[in-house]
Amino acid sequence: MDAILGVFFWSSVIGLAAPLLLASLGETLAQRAGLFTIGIEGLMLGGAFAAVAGAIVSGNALVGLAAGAFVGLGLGAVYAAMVVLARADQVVVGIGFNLIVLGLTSLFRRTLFPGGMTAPDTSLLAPVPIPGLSAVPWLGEVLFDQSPVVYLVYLLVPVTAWVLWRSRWGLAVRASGDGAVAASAQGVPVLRVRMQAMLVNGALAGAAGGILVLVQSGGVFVDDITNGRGYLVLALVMFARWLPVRVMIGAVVFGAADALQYVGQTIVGDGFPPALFLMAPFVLALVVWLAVSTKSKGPRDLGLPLLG
Amino acid sequence: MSGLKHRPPADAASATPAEGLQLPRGSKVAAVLLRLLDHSWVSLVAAFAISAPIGLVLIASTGADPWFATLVTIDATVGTVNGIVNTLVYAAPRLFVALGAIVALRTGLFNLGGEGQLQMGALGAIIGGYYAASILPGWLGIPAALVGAVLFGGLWAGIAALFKLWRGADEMIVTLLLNFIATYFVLFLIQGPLRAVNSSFNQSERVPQTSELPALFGTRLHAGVILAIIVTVLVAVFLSRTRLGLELRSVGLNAAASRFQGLPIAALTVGALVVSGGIAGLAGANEVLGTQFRLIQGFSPGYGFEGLAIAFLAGLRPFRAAVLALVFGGIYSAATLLQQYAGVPVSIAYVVEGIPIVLLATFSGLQLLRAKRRKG
Repeated sequence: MDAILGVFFWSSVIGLAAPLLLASLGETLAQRAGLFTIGIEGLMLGGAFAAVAGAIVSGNALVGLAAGAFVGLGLGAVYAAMVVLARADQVVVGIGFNLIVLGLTSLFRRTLFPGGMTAPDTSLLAPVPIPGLSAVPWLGEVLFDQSPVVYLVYLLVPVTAWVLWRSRWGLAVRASGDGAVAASAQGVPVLRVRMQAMLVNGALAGAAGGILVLVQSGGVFVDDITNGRGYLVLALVMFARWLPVRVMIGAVVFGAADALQYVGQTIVGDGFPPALFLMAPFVLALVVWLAVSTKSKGPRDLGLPLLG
Repeated sequence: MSGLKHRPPADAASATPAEGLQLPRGSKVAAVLLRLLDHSWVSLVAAFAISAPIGLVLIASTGADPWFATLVTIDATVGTVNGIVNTLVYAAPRLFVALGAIVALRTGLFNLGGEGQLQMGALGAIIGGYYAASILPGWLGIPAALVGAVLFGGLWAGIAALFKLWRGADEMIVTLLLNFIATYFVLFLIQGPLRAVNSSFNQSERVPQTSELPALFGTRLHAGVILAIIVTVLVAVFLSRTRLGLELRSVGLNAAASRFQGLPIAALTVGALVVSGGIAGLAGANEVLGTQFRLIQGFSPGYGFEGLAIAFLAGLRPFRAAVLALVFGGIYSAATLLQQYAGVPVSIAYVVEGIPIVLLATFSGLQLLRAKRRKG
């Protein structure tokens, strides 16, 4: 019981929640604009691969993270061209897209990095305690001794909320997802706004993959390292009702379930089967579906192309 | 999320011409090509015709000779008896998942949980074909295993139906989550309670010979392939020639109108998902009883999403899914042989399979857009 209240556990929860949160904020924008991105699993995976590849080639973890975001942006652009401009079915494209990215990353890992993929030095992303705050017992130690990118991710929560409700672009995003044809008639450039939302989603998902692998997984890329986290993001965004603050709470809850696989053994004893810890975030997501009523309404045009 | 279930009403008044993609005007060649793509067979062949050379370029990038790769691909698919056998054997599990997906998708239910349902199906097959078979007469081994697979796969998909009806949860997300729960649950079982004694791998005990699907012609070919063909015919007849099949399709086309007509939507939703999961469960049985004879960690290289891809590529038509399953089986057969002979990573198969899907979806999106434009 001590372990589950311990600083180490909750500190890793805050850290593990960061990539989920970052990808979920991007997905929130995309879904608000009417785009349901099954392909976010592939966007994150592509970003994770690029981040480690970039870190290996440049020797700099920050360059790696930027490479992850950049590749995410590029993949997002391809995705947007298909689902926004060409009006391809969003679910079908997402399934195919994830297969392609899984295949390509696994192929490139073997051909370009036959010795395996490990970022040589991730010290630039190591935890930086915030002077003063990190001295606060428990709370400070948990919240204010994280990697700098983790702080940035949490700062993006109010930024995303501000963009959605206080900026003109955010208004256009919400209009594009909720009555797209009428919005188009009123002069909202629906296609352009959706393209932009998808590009932001791609860049954030790519960076999220980068954080996952560089900050949380010791800089080691293995095949399919995202392992369903993209689908968790989809579940999270939907039952957070597309609200950034709720997305953050949800991400921390999932982070806790995720952290169980690393510290769970010390909590419940060595004999506990590891596969059940791996299952935990997905079971939790189902339980949350039961607890949260999902009948409140979301963006009306979610998943639909603009035709009209 | 109701938006994902329905296309917008076809007669919705369009407020204004949409901005956006301008198709090349005045270019007659382009216009003819685009119209050709309206034929689903043409677009399907075109999609694979674009994907294949990309695959060859990727193979070349690994240092293998593309010409040699082409010859190996022919050997692995239609060129040799072994190739044909392997293609059929690899096609069967993918076809089961695709057929299951088709039943659900035709009902307007996005069952993306084929992977989880086949994992549970494999578990059901072991329970029926090993544990139940040990107390049953030998001839009941195979039926018990198949019933177990259908039951487990079906009930697993049924969970998504309950969530949908009870909490309004989106079945797409729920089935996606159930994939991972099932995979880890099966992993837990074969790492622990069901793990074979004195085995160095994470795998179950071997099923008795009486529970194995019979081999055909003294090759790797087994009765699972025949079962796949039978189920294809059954699904096709069920959807197009039976009253229940018509009702399912009518729910898929317009749930509100079907309810107005008096159809029991809830029962049909549960039924469609359970049948869909049961058929996907047969993919697991096919692997356990036909090729591996045990439940082995990681036995599915991703049949779930490949099967789903086949269903989409086939335009949700069962017989076309059978043909495409052969294509996917051939791709996988070629990829494994290329790995053996030329060290090309087998994951190249995912790329070659994924590209036609996104291309085909793009073609039909453009077609939708042009149809809308013509109507004004």
